[in-house]
Amino acid sequence: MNKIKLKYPPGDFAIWMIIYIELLTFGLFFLGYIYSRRADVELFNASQLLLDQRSGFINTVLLITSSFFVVKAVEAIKTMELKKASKYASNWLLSAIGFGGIFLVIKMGEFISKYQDGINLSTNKFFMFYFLLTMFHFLHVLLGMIILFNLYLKTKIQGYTKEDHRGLETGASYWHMVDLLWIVLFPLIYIIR
Amino acid sequence: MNKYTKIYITLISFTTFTFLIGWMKLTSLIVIAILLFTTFLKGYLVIEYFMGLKEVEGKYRYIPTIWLVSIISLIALGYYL
Repeated sequence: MNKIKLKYPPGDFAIWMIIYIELLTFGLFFLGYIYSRRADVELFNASQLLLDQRSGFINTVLLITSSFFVVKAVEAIKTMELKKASKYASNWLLSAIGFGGIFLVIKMGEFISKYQDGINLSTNKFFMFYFLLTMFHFLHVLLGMIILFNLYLKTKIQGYTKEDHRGLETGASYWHMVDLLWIVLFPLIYIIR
Repeated sequence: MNKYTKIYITLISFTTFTFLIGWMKLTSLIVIAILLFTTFLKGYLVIEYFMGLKEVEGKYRYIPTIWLVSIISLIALGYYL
C-alpha cells in the first residue's frame, strides 16, 4: 500500500528556508576549503596531522547520538499517550542537550589546546578554514541547544500532543541539520588527505 | 529493534569505519572515494529518516539530498583533479 506523502517538510516551513540557506553557506565554505587545499596540498596534509582525530570521532558520535535522541523524543510524542509521551520526550531531549553540551566542551578543549600550541586563525590557510568552519558550526550547536532547551521546557508542561507537535519538529529539524553538517565536516577536515 | 535504532547503529558503524581509516593514515584515491561514499550514505540517512523527508513529496524532499550529492561530488573533483 502506498503511504500518502506530506506536501511540506515537518515543522514550520520557515525553518526549512533557514536550513536550505545554512546548507548553501556551509557548502560554499566546504568548497572554499577543497579548492584552497588544491593550491597547497602539502601544507594542508601536514596541518591536518596536528588535529586530534579522536576528539573529532567522539564529537561525531556525540552529535549523531544526540540527533537520535531527538528522533526518539519526536517519536514518543507522535505515538504515546500524552503524559507518558511528555515524560519520555523530555528525558530524550535532556539527554540530547547533555550530549550537545559534551560536544561543546570537547570542541572548546580542542580550541584551547590549539591556541596554547600557538596555532590560530592566521597560522596558515588550513587553520583559517579549520577555525572558521568549526567555530561557525560550534555557534550552530550552541543555538541548537538553546532551541532544544525550549522544547524540553514545553514537553515538561505537556505542551506537545499527537495532533500538535509542529514546534517540536521545527526544533528537531534544525538539530538534525547541525548533525548533517558535522557529518560532512568531520571526514573533510579531520580524515581525508 | 525499530528502524531509527537500526539507522543509528549504521551511522555509528560508518563513523567508526571513517575514524579507523583516518587512524591507519590510509591515503589513496580509492580510500577517498570510499570515505566520500560513506559520508554520502550517512548524510542521506539523516536527511531521509532523522529529518523525516522520506515522508515528504517533491522538491522539498530532494533539496538537501541534491545539496549533499553536489557537495560530495565537488569535493571528490577537488581531490581527483
